[in-house]
Amino acid sequence: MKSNRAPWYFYVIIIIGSVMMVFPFLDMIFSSFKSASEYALLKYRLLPEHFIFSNYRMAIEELQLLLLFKNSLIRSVSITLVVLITSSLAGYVLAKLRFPGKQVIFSFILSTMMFPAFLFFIPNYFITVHFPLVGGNDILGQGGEGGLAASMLGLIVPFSVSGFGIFLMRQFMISIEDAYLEAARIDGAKELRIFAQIVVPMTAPALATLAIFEFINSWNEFIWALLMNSVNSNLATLPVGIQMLKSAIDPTLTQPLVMAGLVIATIPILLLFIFLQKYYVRGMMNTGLK
Amino acid sequence: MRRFKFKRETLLAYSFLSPVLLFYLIFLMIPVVFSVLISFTDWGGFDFASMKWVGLKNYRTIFSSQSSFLNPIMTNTFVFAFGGVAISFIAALIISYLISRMRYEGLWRTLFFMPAVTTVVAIGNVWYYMYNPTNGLINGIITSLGFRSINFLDDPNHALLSITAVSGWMGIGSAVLLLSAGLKGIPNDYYEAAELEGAGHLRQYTKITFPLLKPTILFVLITSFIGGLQSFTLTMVMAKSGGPGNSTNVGALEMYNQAFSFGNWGVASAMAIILFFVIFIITMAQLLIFRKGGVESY
Amino acid sequence: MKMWKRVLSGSLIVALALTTAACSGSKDAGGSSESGKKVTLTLLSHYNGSNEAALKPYIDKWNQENPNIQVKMTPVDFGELLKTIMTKQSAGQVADIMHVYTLWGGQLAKNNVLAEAPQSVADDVTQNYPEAAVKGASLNGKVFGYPTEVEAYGLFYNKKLLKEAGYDEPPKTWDELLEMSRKIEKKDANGKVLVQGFGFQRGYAGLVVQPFMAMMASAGSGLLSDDLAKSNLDSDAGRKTMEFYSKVYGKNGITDIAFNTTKGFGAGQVGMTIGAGWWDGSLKTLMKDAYTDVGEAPMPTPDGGAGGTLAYTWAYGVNSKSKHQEEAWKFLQWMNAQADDSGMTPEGQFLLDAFNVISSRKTDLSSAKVQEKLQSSPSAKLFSDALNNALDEQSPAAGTEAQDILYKQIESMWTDQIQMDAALNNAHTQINTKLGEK
Repeated sequence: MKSNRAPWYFYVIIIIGSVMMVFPFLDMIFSSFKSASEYALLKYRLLPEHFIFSNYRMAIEELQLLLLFKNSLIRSVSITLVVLITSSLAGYVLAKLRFPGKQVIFSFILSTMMFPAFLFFIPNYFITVHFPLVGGNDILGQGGEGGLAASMLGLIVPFSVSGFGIFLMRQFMISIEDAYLEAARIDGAKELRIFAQIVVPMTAPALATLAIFEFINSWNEFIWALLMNSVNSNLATLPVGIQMLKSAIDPTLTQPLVMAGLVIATIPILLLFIFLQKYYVRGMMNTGLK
Repeated sequence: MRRFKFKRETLLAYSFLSPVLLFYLIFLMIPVVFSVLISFTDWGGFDFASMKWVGLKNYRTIFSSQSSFLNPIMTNTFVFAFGGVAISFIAALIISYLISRMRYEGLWRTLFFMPAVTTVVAIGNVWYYMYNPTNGLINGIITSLGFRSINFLDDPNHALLSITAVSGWMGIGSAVLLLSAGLKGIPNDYYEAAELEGAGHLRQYTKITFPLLKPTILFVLITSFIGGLQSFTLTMVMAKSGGPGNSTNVGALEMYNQAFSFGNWGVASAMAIILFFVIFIITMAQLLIFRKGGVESY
Repeated sequence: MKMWKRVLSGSLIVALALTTAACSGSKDAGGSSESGKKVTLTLLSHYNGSNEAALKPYIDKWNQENPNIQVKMTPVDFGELLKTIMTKQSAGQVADIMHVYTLWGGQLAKNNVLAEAPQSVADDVTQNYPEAAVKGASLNGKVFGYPTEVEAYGLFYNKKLLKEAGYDEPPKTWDELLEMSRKIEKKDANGKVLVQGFGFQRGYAGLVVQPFMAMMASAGSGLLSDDLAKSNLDSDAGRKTMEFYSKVYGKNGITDIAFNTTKGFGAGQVGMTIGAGWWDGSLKTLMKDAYTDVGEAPMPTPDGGAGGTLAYTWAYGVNSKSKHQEEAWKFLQWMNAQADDSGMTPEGQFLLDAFNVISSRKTDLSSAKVQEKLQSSPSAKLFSDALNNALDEQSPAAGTEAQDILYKQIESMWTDQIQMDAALNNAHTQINTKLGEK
């Protein structure tokens, strides 16, 4: 279909553009093998003088990389799963059931996407650390050791619902034929079973899109994780841990380690995306929304 | 019978919705009220006993002539948001069109999307070193061409634009994705007909592509502009508290520092609310313009 | 495709179970261990990376000797430490022992974060540390903890570069400094700096403002009045210092602000800069053989006479909300005041290991090891002596904000956004307003 309609200069422009996209990543990878004193040199070189692998060993030691990786993974997987559940439940209700208040709730959920996140930043921090009955807090949210932030919950709970996710699932579920559901209802199936056995499998492509989207976003999320880390340093995720490694007092000494840490944090997620991008792109294109 | 079924369905709907509604109550409704309240107080963020009602004082401080909030901070916020959108949008408009006519469209799209799946911490740090005036990549190229090196992040005349450029660079991928989706919706027959009539690429673009792509374009513009107004992670990673001076400081970053570095929670909340109104007004204005321009669906 | 669907619907159900499990599982992690009388103290400090490794042997030693009072380190980068202390405090994740930068003292006192020291500790501190350190570790005249890193500012210079320009001695006056640096500076045809004569280190507020205060001190005045109510920037010393600052970078500057002085000095491409004592240790690691070129001297003064400098202080304090204050003080007394066979305190040994810095504690100073160090290392002696005529870094409740204001005004001046007079006036009035508010 799109055969050879593109003239050669199309390729020239796109290749130049692609180089601009990829180069910073190459720079990051090569820099991670440079020595601290090479950083202090005056002349730029892409390739390091000698490839120094010890940056990786030191980064892994000083970063407690396993802990960071574990935290990032638990957080991203949990948020993804919870968001899939809440989004498909709410999406189903808003697409397929009739009940009073439906229109109001749908408009409300749409409007939440317009609210800027930082408006909630300060109060949500307060609510998270004074959440009643968790992390040692009493019923008034006092006296404990950080409420939700005493455990991984602080990194997960405030992200457990996504307005975008609900919207995406609703759009997808609207296209499911009512006849399927009616047939199942006549067979006497319970609504939860209809949901789990008929609706969820039919929305698999949308769920896959949402899962990739949520996983990547929560893997990369920085500001909230940074704040939770200052409450409880056991909660450091990869981006936070690496930013912390970058010493404010003596940046020249830590820079190569930071680059090594960044390579470790970004390359897996890049590969994951490249591997799964088919599902992601298809879903995004079908809804035409990000 | 009918009545019974109706009630059962309502009950079911609300029980399915209950986690979502509870979440929004705790993490959205209460916080909004809370934010508004704190913005009228002087509070260091510790116990409620030390909270002092000060009326409009925080707002007056922010708008006073001494304050740097309106200028340069809010001006920077707009430059940052607008610049980032302009860069990523114009680049994406060209790229999405070109790759839609090329082979390996998926490959190209993936390359442009890479920054969008990378943590801002990585992007900020890598660009910070690429911008370095003594031994960064970009100045390496500039000086090897015989020009004077540029102080991207140290010169207040360049710093904001330098960070904005990175933000634009990051945003290209998402915009390309959305615009590609829009392009897919344009039937190929249109182009074939135009080609038969001898229309070149530029003409095809202005006469067919652009008009049909308008709804997608407007959507991309509005969402990325609002996103740009709120974002501060990149600035934080590349310029810490928004230096040199206040030359790269943006509204949300100032709010963050007021609250968590200086313990001025009242002032910080007042800033959040002012920013919210700014964004709200802009969103409404854009929606109004869209309606007038005949784009109903958003 | 069918497989896909099964996997997805299955995982959704598993997910529900998992989240419940995660919630109940993580609850235990938050609880504190209450087995017997064993107490675990958390120690929050900015010693991360290699510094953490240097501190660890001493903590391990304590933990071995005191099985009932275990100390656990929580390292945080300096840039995040104040925020961490504040957020932890408001969240109830109280750190028992905190290593604080005394500039934050006022802010921490306002929020009642630090406990007052017991009388025995207070007496020990007032007797054994220099005045700048005692003042640093006090709030409203009351000692809150043990001073640790007490670091004075001085002039760092590169002997080789000075010699090449025809100088054998470092400058004594500010004018000499400027004149020498013009001679040392080398630029290429495009105006790019190859060798910098003199430059300031930059990057965060303290790095720019502390040398400013050190220079102001060498001109005879503290940044703020003694009662911390008002800025002294309008004084003669303040004006002179700002004037000197305006001559370094910007249109009328002797050098280019884009040149990274910290990196450049380490690479042997900077003639002179201002730095604190600890930097010497850092340079030693970074420069290896080239370290022999590094020279250090007292701060130059406006007229070449004897002058002061600034010493900033870090101190160990105990959290007022800690449940184990008594144990925390016990540990701190051991760490800071109890000499071992070598005659040195663990803290004194740590400072020497980690930063090549001499402890400011009198008992450490008289130990054989320190005396030997003072003989063999001119740098250690210089910075140790400088403490005797150093001013302390004043710490009003709005301390960080006042520094931030001055920092932003200086940077704006250096980057030609405003003139020197405007920078001085803005900083003066804004700091006064901030001090008045709190």
